[in-house]
Amino acid sequence: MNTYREAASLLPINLCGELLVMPERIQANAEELRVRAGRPVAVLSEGREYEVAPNYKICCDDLYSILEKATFASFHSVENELAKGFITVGGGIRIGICGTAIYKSGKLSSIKNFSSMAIRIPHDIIGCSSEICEKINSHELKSALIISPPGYGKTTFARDYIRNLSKKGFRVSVADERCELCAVMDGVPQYDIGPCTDVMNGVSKSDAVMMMLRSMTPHIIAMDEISEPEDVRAVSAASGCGIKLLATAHAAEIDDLRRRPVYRELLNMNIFDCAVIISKAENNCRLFRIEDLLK
Amino acid sequence: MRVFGAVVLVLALTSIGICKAIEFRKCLTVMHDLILMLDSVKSELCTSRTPMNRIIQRIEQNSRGEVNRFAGSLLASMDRLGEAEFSSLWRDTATDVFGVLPQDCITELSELGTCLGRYDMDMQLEAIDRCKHKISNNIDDLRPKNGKIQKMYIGLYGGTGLIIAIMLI
Repeated sequence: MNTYREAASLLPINLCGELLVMPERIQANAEELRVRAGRPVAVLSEGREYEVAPNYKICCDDLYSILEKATFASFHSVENELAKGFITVGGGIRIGICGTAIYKSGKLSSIKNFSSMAIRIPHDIIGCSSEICEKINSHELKSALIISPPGYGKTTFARDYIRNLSKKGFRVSVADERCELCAVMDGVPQYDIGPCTDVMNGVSKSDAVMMMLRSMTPHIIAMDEISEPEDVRAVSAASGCGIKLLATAHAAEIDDLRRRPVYRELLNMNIFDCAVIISKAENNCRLFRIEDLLK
Repeated sequence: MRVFGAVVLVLALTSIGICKAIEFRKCLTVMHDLILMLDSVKSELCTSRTPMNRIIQRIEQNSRGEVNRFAGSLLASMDRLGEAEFSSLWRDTATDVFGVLPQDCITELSELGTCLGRYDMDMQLEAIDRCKHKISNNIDDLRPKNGKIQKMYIGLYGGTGLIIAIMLI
């Protein structure tokens, strides 16, 4: 079942029907279904939102029943994710949730009175990193940092890179704090991440790195954006043990990274052998450039 | 002929009495099985925060009788999540399957469905404990009277049959 259809099936049956008769072009390029209380459902595709069934306004009960269906009536099993504002469901679909925050002992514990949802439709691009992965690791396994502005496909690229390394037989441990890289659901990654990949899901990168370093004997540890000083310490510890690293960072160029204290420290430690910089051509195609970080 | 008819009448009414007695015993068995089911649900929620569909699947695999039927029907009906809320699927299935139970047990079980999977862990566990407590109280009330009530049903129906048979003869 394709992921657009899977995402549509989470909505009330009449809306699901309307979504499935949207033009093929919109369905194929759909990035998200936007569901907002008091508004019609919209499909985010090709950079704009297309309204579906304009006369049907979403109500709070609809939002509740989407979540109930997505979690098999098991809010308790997604409590931690809900507190972070999203849940991951089958097929790698992620549902971002807005509503009223509930605090317990001063800590955000959950969300109630849902007001809107963004149902993200995943697009995995198999092979997008094959050439780059081959170039970087042709003689030996290297640590790489994937850089681009938001929305350029760093996570998709990183996932394919993990898959390529895993297929070559390298043990890859993934610290998937926000469940974006592997979209693990009920213990099963919803993407193909290769036969030799182990995932630590929904835990801080620093904790995950230390746990997997001790227990999973990885060749390489992969993670999404490094953002905290603790993450840098964990990465440094892993590197000190001879483990290679793969990470992503939001930036247009390496010089942008150097302006941020966390990354300046990271780059000064010479942990990463090279950077893969993703940019966009005029026709929206992705361009990849490798830069040596150790020169 | 009359004697034959009288004998048949006595046997028929005595059979009804025996069926009522068996149904009463079954009610106690079902309540025991329900307690075990609720213990399973509680363990799964506490230890693994297992999703409801998995919990119900495990109950179906490890239970018998009415509880097994309940789990099977509920699991099948969960395809309709989205069209109907889980609480209504739970309530409808409980009402269908557990007709042999006292009404207050069915009511408490139906109310449990409004909490499961919806509220936070502590509230769900409290709701399960409340339901278990209600069912346990019913078991404690009925178990001492078990033998007497069964004999009463058999005696009442058998006796009624005999009286009608004598009047007919």
